[in-house]
This record gives sequence, structure tokens and C-alpha cells, in this order.
Amino acid sequence: MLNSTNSHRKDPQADSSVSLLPHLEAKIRQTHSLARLLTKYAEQLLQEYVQHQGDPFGQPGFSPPRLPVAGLSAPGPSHAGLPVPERLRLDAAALAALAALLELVRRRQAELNPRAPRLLRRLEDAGRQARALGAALDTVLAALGAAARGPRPEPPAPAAAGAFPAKLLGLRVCGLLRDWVSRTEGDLGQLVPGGPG
Amino acid sequence: MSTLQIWVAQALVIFLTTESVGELLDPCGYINPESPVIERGSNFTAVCVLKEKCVDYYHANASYIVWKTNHLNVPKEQYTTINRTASSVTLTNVASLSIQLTCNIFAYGQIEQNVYGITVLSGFPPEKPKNLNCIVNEGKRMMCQWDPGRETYLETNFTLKSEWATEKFEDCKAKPDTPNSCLVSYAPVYFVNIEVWVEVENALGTATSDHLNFDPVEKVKPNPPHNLSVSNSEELSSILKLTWINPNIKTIMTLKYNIEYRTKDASTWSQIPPEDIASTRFSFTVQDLKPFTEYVFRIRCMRSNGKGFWSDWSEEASGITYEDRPSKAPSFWYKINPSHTHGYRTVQLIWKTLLPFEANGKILDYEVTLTRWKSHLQNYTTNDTKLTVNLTDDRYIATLTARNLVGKSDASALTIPACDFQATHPVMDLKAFPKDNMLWVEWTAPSKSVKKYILEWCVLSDSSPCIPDWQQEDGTVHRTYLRAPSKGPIVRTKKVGKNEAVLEWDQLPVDAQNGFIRNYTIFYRTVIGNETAVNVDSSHTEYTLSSLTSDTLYMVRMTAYTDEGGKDGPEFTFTTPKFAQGEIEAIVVPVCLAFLLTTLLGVLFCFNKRDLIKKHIWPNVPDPSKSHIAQWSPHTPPRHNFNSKDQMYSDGNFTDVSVVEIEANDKKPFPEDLKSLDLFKKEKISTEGHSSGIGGSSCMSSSRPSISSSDDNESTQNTSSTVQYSTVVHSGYRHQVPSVQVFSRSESTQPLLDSEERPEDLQLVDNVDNNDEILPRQQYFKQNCSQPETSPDISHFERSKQVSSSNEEDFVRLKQQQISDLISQSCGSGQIKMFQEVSTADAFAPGTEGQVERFEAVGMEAATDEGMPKSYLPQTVRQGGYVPQ
Repeated sequence: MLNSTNSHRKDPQADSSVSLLPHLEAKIRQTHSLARLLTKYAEQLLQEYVQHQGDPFGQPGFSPPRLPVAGLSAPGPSHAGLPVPERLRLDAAALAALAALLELVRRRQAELNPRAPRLLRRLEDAGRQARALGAALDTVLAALGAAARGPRPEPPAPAAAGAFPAKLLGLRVCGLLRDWVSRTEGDLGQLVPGGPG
Repeated sequence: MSTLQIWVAQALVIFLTTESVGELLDPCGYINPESPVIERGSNFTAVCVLKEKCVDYYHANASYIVWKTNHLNVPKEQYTTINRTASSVTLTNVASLSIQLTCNIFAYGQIEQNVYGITVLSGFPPEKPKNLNCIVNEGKRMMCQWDPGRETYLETNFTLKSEWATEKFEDCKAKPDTPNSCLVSYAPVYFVNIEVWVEVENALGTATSDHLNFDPVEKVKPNPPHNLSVSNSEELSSILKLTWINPNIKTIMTLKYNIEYRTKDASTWSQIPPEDIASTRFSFTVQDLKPFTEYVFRIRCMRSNGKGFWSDWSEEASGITYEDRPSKAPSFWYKINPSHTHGYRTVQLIWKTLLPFEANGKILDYEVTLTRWKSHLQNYTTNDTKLTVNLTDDRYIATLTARNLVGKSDASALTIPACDFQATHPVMDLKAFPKDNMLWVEWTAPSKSVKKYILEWCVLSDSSPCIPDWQQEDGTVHRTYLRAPSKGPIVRTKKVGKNEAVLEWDQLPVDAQNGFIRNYTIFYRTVIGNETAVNVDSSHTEYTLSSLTSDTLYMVRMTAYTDEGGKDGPEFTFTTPKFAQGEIEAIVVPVCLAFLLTTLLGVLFCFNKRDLIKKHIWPNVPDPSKSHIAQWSPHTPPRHNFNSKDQMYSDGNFTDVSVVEIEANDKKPFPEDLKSLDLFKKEKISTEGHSSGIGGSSCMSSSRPSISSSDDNESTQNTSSTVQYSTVVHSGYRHQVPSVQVFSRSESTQPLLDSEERPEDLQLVDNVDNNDEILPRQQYFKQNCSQPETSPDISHFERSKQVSSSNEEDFVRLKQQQISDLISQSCGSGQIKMFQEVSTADAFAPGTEGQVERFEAVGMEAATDEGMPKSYLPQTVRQGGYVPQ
């Protein structure tokens, strides 16, 4: 009877650990789908952003320098050797920083392009979606037993600058969003059953 | 500055007014609570508190308070007097939605006055919203619905709240008219779980629904697949391939489908097994279909895992399977003509058309093969369902196949026995009986095996002859029924004209045909007319009724006939229009054009003849006081210058000049001509009676004849026979003596005035060619008797003209007589003799001046008798002129 009780206590745990797997798998699939969807959205955002900045943005020969953005680095090849959870942790941190930067860009664009409501809405949505994707990554990391590292520092607000530097910053942020979301999609793809990982 | 002053003044006025009104409206008490909202069915207590000043003023206290609800007194039992100034009332089990509760007081113990009033609202607190669910229509915003619970009867607000794990979204407030749904303001983000719930609140409380957490991608209702198309395959007659374009949502989710199909005439749908179409695709091949049959398809989709909603059905698309060879041999039979000549017999082979599902396509023709002695073959190909052949008395084997685009049917074989063949083992106990609205035929099968049965029958009718028909049955059956269509075709009009109507109808569904539709009969009639029937071939779906009456109501119905009978369809009415299309325009436009043309021609005619019209309608009456004498000299050339025909025919030449030609003729006139002359004389009398005044016609002036003779030798022959009616006008005027003695000549006493306007009218016709003599004479009559009453003269003249053409001499005599008669009528008895003498003398002895002078004197006397002015008195003339008397 005792054994039976013990086994009864133990079974739910075993069941929960078993049932957690499908839930985690579903969460990974869902997050992966979100990353794939946001990759498409990020590409659209970048194109629309360029359209609204005027010359020389969007011209074929225009290739601005990839200036560093405070608090956010570009996904680099140095991360290639890291384990997937660590890469996902970097992805989540970058997405959190991008969400704040996108809000900054949206505010500057509201001044520079007040008559581009669709762009402003896209920027707002992109920031929200980056936060959502970061939160989903945190959930996945938590489920994988690799909790995110403490509170992330807010990226310092860039000093007020002219219109052109503001446009350049926006372009850089949109580009980084596309890169990071795309990398997140790839990293999650390694976790998806049947995926490359 | 002034504006500021105005504002200050206005503010002061408003303040003072408010103060005064506040004092005026200061009630004697109040009710607590002020605006109560209570739950329906509950008890409610209100307290009315009187102010001290009113208690003193009205000499009343709280015991004088009377409570009323909706103007009705509340029973005293529900009152409670709390103290000297306060009274409470308790309303139990409040059921009304709104109650007007007033506190009243008896002032001075008897005068009821209202103290205060409130409105008590009752309702229910909100229930917890249930069944919250959301739907994301592809490309649109998310909408959530819920069950709001019972009616609260109060203003109740429903708010849909939503949030991600990371942030909250804007509240969605339901509209009052749709408290059970709300459309969020933001675009959904797939693959991010969202949590939604509904909060509801009113004056009696709040409630919150269960939270719903979901990924919006699981609530998607995709757009339906579009551009659905159907194509067949020439290789397989049982398949149709569907293709479509998926909705855009396919990029983020896999889809599954429902595909349904039916034949064109069917009403129920069949479904493709769902497991065959459980993943995203853009085409599908449907199998196991009937050949040469039109199918209708539709498709819808949803997320493949079943989470979400089915899309709406796509637009329907149809396609026809390809043909297949006929699946059945046609029913085959024969008839032998009883007449038998020269060892041959006439045999008519007959067969039935295949039903559509048996023909599997359009039957192009039938092939008949006749075999005698297993070697002699005769082949026939026909489109008809019968074939007449002359056969010998031998036994034949006939085979029949039906052919369509793909191939031939199996062959139907039929043995045509020899002439001397005697049938054995006939069918026994043949009987027919009605049952279940069908005519059944039953028989006893013979003992030997049977390949097939042929039933022959005809309709017995007093009005129509027995036309045998037949039906083939399998050899294993011994009972069958004769079928007729279960319903008739529905006819309608395609186009209705003034005298014709194009009718159209759909082919009866196969299930309703119950056999082969042999023909249709269209019955049409007017409300009062007889019904007319028209037979139409079964292959048609359209027919034009002609010779209809316009603007008439027609009733038409159709009957479909199989061999077994017919069935009426519903009656259809239509009305022919009064006018054909464009007919009104065809009438109105030519009429308008004709009217326009006529008006134009009339205007042109009037314009051209304005002088003539003016003369007849507004004759130009000259002022005698302004007249002067036109000069005329016997040597004036115009008198002899009259060779031109234009001048001869000119109206002006004859307006004031009257000429009568008298030709010498020894012969006596014909009696008929004399008659015409008599008529002419009568006419002249009547004409004179109507003439008067200076504006009178020249017929008047002709009654003053004068004879002129010309000194022109060349024209002596003509002029000698011419009597000119003219008037000698004195050249003086108003007793003025002209410096030169000039004599003017005129035909009457008056036309001098007219001649002033047209001096050329004074020209005389002296030299008229003999060949043209008729015309001047005609002109004479027309000119001198141109009034309406002169028409008889024309006929008289025409008779004279005939005489002239036949016998010139006789005509001269006739003219003499005519002239003499005319003068005798015109001038009275006193002058007849003299004129006759003159005219006769002039005719046979031209140039006799003395006679001319005598006649001239007569004219002068006549003029004097009518009171003519002295200036018209005849004057002495020289040779060629007038001789004074």
C-alpha cells in the first residue's frame, strides 16, 4: 500500500516530465515559427524604412558604413562554436536591446517622417515582436534548464544628433534586427525535431 | 478691452441669475439616496428629510409626508417617521425597471405639495461572460465573441482585455448595440500567445470572464482558395483535375481541404475523402466520375492541424468529363410491312436512343449490318433511329452499334425471321394494370429461355390514332412498367417582342425524365383565345413563338413527352409589348421629318410666290390720287414685240389685257361646240354679276369690248381676227390738259391704276402664231375668268380645243359664234347686233375701220353709263389707233 502510495507520488512527476517534452517541443516549434515570420517582417521593415529616408538611402551605390551601435553588437562568426543555449541567450539579449533601439528609432522617425504612419506602426510592431520573441526564447531557455542571465542592461540612449545620423542609426538597427532574428531562426532550427540540429 | 467688459457683464448676469434661480428652486427637502440603482426584486428604502424653514412655513412635519411612486400613493404601512423632519419609505421586491419616487407634504394640513423626487432604477448585476472565443479572419484584425449573460437592464460596459507575456494591449470596448463582441485595434501576431478576457461592469457590479490564452494562428479563418478551375483528360473519361490558388496564409501554416462535387443537375454534394487532401496543395484529380457528365466543384481550407476555422467555400467551378464509348447496346426492333411484292418485303429497323449515362458522349451515328446465310453482308450508317430496307424472304441477322467520338457500343443483334417462320412458345397471360401512378405490364414467361422481350403498345384514344410504340426488356424479367416524366420542363421567356417571343427551358434532369424525351409540346394561349400547341424536338431548349398579338397577355406551358406519356410544367405568363423595339422612333422620326420638309417647302413656295399671294390676300390698292397716265403710242414697239413665248405666258401680259382670237371659218360649228358655248355664255353672265369695283377682275373689263386693228401687214391675218378689249384713257388728269395729245389704251375702265405698277401689262398680244393659237386662247380664259367660278369654262374650252385640232375652219366659225354669243350676253341686247356685225366683219373683212369705230363707240357708251370719269372718254386716234366716234 505504501509502495503503492509512493509510486502514486512518483508517477505524476514522471508523467509531468514526460508531458513536458511535447510542451517544450511545441514551444520550440512555435518560437521557431515566430522567428521565421519575424525574419520576413524584418526584411519588409528594412525595405520600407529605406523607402522613406530619401536620397541617398535606397540608391544602388549607397553603402553606409556598419557603425557600431552602443549596447548591441552584430551577430558574429565568433558565436558559431557556442552551444545552442548560449547562442539563444545571446539572441534573447540582442532582441531585448533591439526592442529598445526600435522604440528610439520610431521616435526619431516620428519627427523625421510624421506622414509615414505605416512605417511608424511597423517600427512599433517590430519592437513589440522583438520583445515577444525574446520572451519566447527565455521560456525555451527556462524549459531547457538554461535560464537567462539576470537583468539585461538597457542600451544607452544615443546622443541627440542630426537627421542624417538618425537615419543611419535607424537603418543600422533595422539591419541588425533582420540579422538577429534570422540568426535566432537558425539557432532554433537546430532544436526543432527533424531540423538541422 | 470692450470684449473683456462684455464677458464680465455676461458672467455677472449668469451668476446673479443662477443665484436667484437657486433660491427659487430651493426645495423644502430632499430624498436620500439621490440616484439609486438597485437590484431587481430587492427591497429599497429611501428617506425624505424636510428643511426646518419649510416645516415652520407650512406648519407641517414628517408625519405629513406622503410618498408616491409613479404618481400613486405608497401605502402608509411602508412609511416610517424617523423624527420631526425625516420620513422613510421601503419599497419591497422592486420589479419595475424605473420608478419615479416622490416625497410630498400636506401644507397647512391639507394642501399637497411636492417636496422632492428621484428615479429609482433597477436591474441586474452583470453575469460572468462565458464562451469567450476569438477568430482571426485572414488579413483582418482579431475579433472576439462571448456570451454576455442575462440582460441587466442597466448601462453595462463590456471590455475585452488582451496582453502578451511581455506587454498589454489597448482595451477593446464593445459597442452598446453589440455587447457580445469586439474587434481589436491591432494586427494579430502569429506564434505569440496572447491572453484575452472580458471585463464587464455596471452600477450593480463587475464580472470577469475566464482568461483565454492562445496563439492567434490557432484561431485563423483563412480566405478561401480562389481561381478554382476544372479540366478533363482525353485519356481518362472518369477524371477531372482541379487546380486552385491557395490563400496567402499558406506561407505560415499548412492547410487541409474539403472538396465537394455534384453533377450539374443534382442538389446534394459528395465529398472527397478528407485524408486525401490533408496537406497544402494546389491541385487534385477527382476520379471515378461518369463520362461526359458535367460536375460542379467547390473547395475550402483550414489549418492542417484542425486548430482554427474552415474558410468560406470557394466559388463553384464546373467541368465535363471526357467522352467514353457507349456503355450499352441500343434497344433494337423491327417492323415488317405487310405488303409483299416480287419476292421482297419491306422491313423497318427501329431502335431507341441511349440514355446520357449510357451513351457516354454524343452519338454520332449508328451502324447497321444485315447478314444473310452468314456470308452476305450489307452495311448501313445513319443518324436516324430507324432504317427501312428491302429484304428477301430469307432469314436475316441484323446488328446495330452506336458510335460516339471515342468508340462503338456493343452490338445489338436481332433476328429477322424468314417469311414462312412460325413463332412458337408465345408469351402467355399478358396483362396491364395501374399501380402507384404507373402502368405495369406483366406476363408469364415461356418455358424456354428468352434473350429479351419487346413490349409493343399504343395509346387508345378517340382523338388520335393508335401509333404503336415499343420497349425492350431483359429476358429475365416478366414484369415492367411504362414510365413517363415525373415533372415537366419549366419554360420562361428569353426575349419578348411585339409579335414574337423567344421561349427557353432547361433539359429535364435525368432522374425526372423516366425515359427518353421524344418531344416537347408548347401550349400557349391568350386569356380569351384558344390554346395553340407547337411540337418541338427534344434536342431543343429554345423556341420562338411568332405571329403573336402585340400588347397581349399570353399564358404558356410545356409538356415533355416520352413514349409513355407527357407531363406538364408550370404555366408561365408574359405580355407582348405594344410597340416593337425602335418602332416608336421609326414612326415619330419620319413624321417629324415630313412635317419639317412640308413646312420648309411651304415656306419656300410662299417665298417664291409672295407677289402672287400678296396680290390675292393683300392686294395692293393704289391710291387714285397718286396715279398718273402711262404714255402709250401706237408706234410703241412693245405692242408688236410679242414673239417671245415668255412674254406670251407671262401673267403680267394678260392681267389687264383680254384677247380673243377669231379665226375665219366658213363652216358651221358642231352642235356639241354650240352647247359648250351656251355653257360659256351662262358662265359669263354669272361672272359679270360678281364683279365690281376698281379691284374687280378683267372679266368685268371684257364687257367693254373694243376692236383694234393692226397696221402691221404681216400680222394682218391674225390681228384682223382679234378683238381687243381695251379702254381708252384720257391722258389728262383732274381737268389738266396735257401738253401733248397722247392716247393711252387700256382694256377696262379701272386697270389703269394697276397698270401703273406694271406698265408691261399694257402690252397686247397682237401677233400670235397660228400654231400657238390654242394657248393664247386658253390664257385668255384663264386670265379673264380666273375666279373659282370659271372652272366650267375650262372644260368648255377643252371641247373647243378638240374641235380646233380636228378642223381649223370649223373652229373659226365656232369662235365667231362664241364671240358673238359672249358679246350678246355681256353687253345687253342693245349691243348684240352691233357686235355681231363688227366681229363678223372683222373676221371676213379685216381692217374695216368704220366698223371698228362703231364698236368703239359702243364701248364708250357703256363706260359713260357706269359713270366713268371724263378722262376715260374715247378720244380720236389716228391710223393704227382708235377712231373717235
